[in-house]
Amino acid sequence: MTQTKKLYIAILLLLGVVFTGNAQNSYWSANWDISMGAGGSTGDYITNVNFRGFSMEGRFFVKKNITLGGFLGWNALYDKVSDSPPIEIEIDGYMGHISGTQIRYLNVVPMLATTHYYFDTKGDSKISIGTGIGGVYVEKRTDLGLNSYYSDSFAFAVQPELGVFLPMGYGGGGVNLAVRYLYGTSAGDLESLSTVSFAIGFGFMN
Amino acid sequence: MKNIIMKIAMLFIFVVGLNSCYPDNDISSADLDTITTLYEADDFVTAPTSVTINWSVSQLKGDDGDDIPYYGAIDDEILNTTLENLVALYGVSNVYILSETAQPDPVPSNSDVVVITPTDVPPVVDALIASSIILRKNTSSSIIYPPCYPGYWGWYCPPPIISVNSYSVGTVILDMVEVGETDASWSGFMRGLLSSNESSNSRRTINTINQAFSQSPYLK
Repeated sequence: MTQTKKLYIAILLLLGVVFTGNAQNSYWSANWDISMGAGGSTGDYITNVNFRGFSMEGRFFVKKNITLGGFLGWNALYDKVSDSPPIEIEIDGYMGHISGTQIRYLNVVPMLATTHYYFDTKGDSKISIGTGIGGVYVEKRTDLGLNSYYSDSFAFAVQPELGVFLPMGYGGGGVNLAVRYLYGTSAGDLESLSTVSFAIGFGFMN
Repeated sequence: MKNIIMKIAMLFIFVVGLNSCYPDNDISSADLDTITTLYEADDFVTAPTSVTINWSVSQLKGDDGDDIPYYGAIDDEILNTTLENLVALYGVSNVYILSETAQPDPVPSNSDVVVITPTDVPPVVDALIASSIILRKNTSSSIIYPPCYPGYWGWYCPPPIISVNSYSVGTVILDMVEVGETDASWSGFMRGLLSSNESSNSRRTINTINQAFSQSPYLK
């Protein structure tokens, strides 16, 4: 048996475990995310609660209560700061400062592999805890007057999560609620990232 | 049916997501104001203790028909806000107003400051501070020759402004020049103060000039 055939059979066996091991095969959700900085440099940079974000997620049951899956999100954090201290500058040998209203943006795009554990509950609702591990792309932009200061990075990320799925009707659909903490390591010119998100959306249990 | 619900849900989330880019709709003209201050560090090893303020705002024009109209609408705010900051820094007895006439126009907000004219015997001071406003619009290429400031110990002629990227129309400039020097040892640039809203212009002028002095503690 060639190496290719062995690999092919191994993949089939793995997929068999993933997709046919349980009555509930998969869970999908699409969410509206409400995010804010959670302390550290992110909390200092953005103090607003931001309502511009979304996320999508797929989970596959590998055991009765355990899933493996993937997560993709996009949160746009924004703040307008009028009382920030002046920024030191140096132009042509002259020292100085520049000040003004700072318009701050953080675009956060986590891309994570996830695992979750579902608690046994008496009702139809399904409570889960889990975590995601992967990468997060962060774009940081500060506008000062007509000037923009821009930097971005791709960092290692981890995202613990507590969620609940509330089934509605008989089609497998329902409401998905979750609270997530996202941490990204410092990378490039950017310091570490720390946000908390509240997600509300639609979930489908197959 | 489930697929339809799924598609609607995805569309909803996608629309919300598209709206996530950049929320620029609550930015006012005041939010675009910037205050830049530059100084020659060597000149402030010993800070000045007395200063004369030139009581007029020089209008930096191109004289080629490409200037914005300006009739001195914020001259009062520029001069009197600067005067109040100088009095706060050096004391009323160490600040002088240099005016073309014995009755300065606009009227100084502090009547205790001594007014001198070019024909008077000049007081001994450390520095002169002069203000100007850029009225020429940005064009593809331009050279501005700012007018020389009248001075009783000589004339200070700022260098021509050549790069179109180095200024914005409506910018107010404050220059502090040490007596005997030709280059400014301290400059403040208050960007973009002229808009169609006169009350806003007045408020923003006062705020930005106050901020220029506030972020320059080495002046004292």
